[in-house]
Amino acid sequence: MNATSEQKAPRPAPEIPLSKQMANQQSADLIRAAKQAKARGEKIAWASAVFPQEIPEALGMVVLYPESFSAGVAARKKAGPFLEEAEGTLGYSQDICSYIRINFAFGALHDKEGFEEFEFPMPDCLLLCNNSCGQVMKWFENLSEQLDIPIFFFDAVYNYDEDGIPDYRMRYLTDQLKQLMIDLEAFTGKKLDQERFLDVQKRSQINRELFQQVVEKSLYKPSPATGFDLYNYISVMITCRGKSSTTQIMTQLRDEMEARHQAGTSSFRGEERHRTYWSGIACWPYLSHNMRTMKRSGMNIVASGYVRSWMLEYEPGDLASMARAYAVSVAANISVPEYAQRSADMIREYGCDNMICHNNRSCKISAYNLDCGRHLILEQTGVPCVSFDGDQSDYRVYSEAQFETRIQGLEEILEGKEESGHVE
Amino acid sequence: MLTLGIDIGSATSKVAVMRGGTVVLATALRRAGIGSDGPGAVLRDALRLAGCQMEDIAAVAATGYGRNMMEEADYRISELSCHGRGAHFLAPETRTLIDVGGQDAKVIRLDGRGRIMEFMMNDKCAAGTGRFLEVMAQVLGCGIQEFSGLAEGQEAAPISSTCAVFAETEVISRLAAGTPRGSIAAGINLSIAKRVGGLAMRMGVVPAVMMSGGVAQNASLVDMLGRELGADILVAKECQFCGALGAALLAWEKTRASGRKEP
Repeated sequence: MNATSEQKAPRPAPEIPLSKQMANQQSADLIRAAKQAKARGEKIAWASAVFPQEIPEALGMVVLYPESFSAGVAARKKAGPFLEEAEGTLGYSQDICSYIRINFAFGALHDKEGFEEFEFPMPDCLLLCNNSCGQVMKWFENLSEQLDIPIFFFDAVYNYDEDGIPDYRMRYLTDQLKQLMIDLEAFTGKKLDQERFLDVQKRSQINRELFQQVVEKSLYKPSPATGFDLYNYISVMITCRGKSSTTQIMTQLRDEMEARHQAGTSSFRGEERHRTYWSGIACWPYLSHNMRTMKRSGMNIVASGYVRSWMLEYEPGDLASMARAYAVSVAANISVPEYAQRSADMIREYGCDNMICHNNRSCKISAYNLDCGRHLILEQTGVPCVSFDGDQSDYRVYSEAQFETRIQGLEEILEGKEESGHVE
Repeated sequence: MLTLGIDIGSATSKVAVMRGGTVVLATALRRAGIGSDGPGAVLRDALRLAGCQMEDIAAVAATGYGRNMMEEADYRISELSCHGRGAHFLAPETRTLIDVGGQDAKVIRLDGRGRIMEFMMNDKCAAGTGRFLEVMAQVLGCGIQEFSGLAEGQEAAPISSTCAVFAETEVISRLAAGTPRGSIAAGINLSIAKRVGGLAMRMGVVPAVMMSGGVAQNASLVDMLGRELGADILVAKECQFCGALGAALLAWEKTRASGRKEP
């Protein structure tokens, strides 16, 4: 008997790459470690996304990252009840960052019925660095007051100019790291072993190097991956960049990408007709819509400044170089001309022929950089560019039809350039 | 060769039927857009006016937010390209096109052949769009057609908000304070002119500047926008058909390039 379409077995779910399985396991292990530490009476922390993690890691302190948690909630399309709680019962404005709104609501709802699936142990202290955002300071200040727990703060100082960091500020940055060690030792009651600290620094640099190799696989034409793939691995670099499990994941991911290149395959399911530079954080609730729409136009993200924010390069054992890395690596902490220069360099290096900017309502600094830096980037590169309105985790701030029109318009510009032979 | 362009927007549906990519046989408009019977009705209107049947049409191109719902379409093209090509047809010297439609405002830079080089669009909210004007006209108790005449030659009362919700409250309080309706209408036009003007200036304004879309029929707003930009603004009498004309033209070009036979 011939099988009709109704009788056909369902298509098997796409195979999850081993690297992704390892990343998922790492994430589960981190939550388990936090729960176990709490059960042992040890202190655990919540940290902002680009905090100098080497110090708590060397102290054996478990650190969780609420921004990563909020992004995960949004990507799973479960942000609704949290946003409603934050804006309703808790009374926060929709104008503040959606990561923050989700986190505040989580604080109110985490022990309520119906929220059991969101496992994220509550902190005993907060580790704060203002290199990724200014609003995070008010967020943690608020949490500190609500939970009655201390904040340990590393002030990365915004870099207004491109002439490097003056000596006096380098001393300020480096001394803060020294003070952090002293303060966290006192808080945890643990002694920081300098050899262990050096090992963690070395491990962080090995992982950075591996992540860089992963990112640079997209230099291949066509790229063996979609840029959205890498967004899925950022949480590994955010939450565990000083751990050996990250070394294994990044090695596996790098090898998977190289194998795909060798086999002439890619996780980008379409034909890579255009190579895109993506500026801004992912629009997590609409990642698949972004991807489907761009695939129809043959646009693959091969480079993104956001992904590079966790490539903190420094010399292990040199505290000043580590302090400098935390001050200058994140696009949100550098001047507009510097942001534009880095973006233009990546566009050229990765052979991008277009740029898509996510005008993220939650991230004021990123929206500011885009608005002011766009012309500087375009002057240098000449690539056509579109921007769209969205949000990293508030699903209400996005229009599918508007995104589709912008992408189709961009594709039509690129086709026009090809017809006139303007594309290199 | 006959080609047909249909522009299905959020508020209206427009069709243009052309012969040989040069002669406009018919245009038709219905004030009913995506999700209504407007597209089907306007299609029938245009075919009747052009004196032909659907079978006579060599190619159909759909544009506007409803383009993907038009089953008869051979091509689905963004309204950016269609408006650009339509503007070039109406005034070849156009290099900057400002289109304010029902739910979006866009500024498009064109090359000498009417192709888009760059564009910027408004964000998700309705500020500075036709929908904003409709809401304000309702508050003033008039239709969108009367609105322009109401504002003509009046001194603009300050309307600070571009958000449809906040501006509505502001307009109501101005009415309560006895401000003449004409001044309020002029103030509303000015707030849109400033917002759309800001969008255009962010991209850079290269003359000649044309305005298309239904809002281009609002002479007072066009005048204010011209002053904002420091440029004369061309408005073709077919300003509402820019997208449909561009779609018909692109359908003709693409069909010719593909070597497809005429019906």
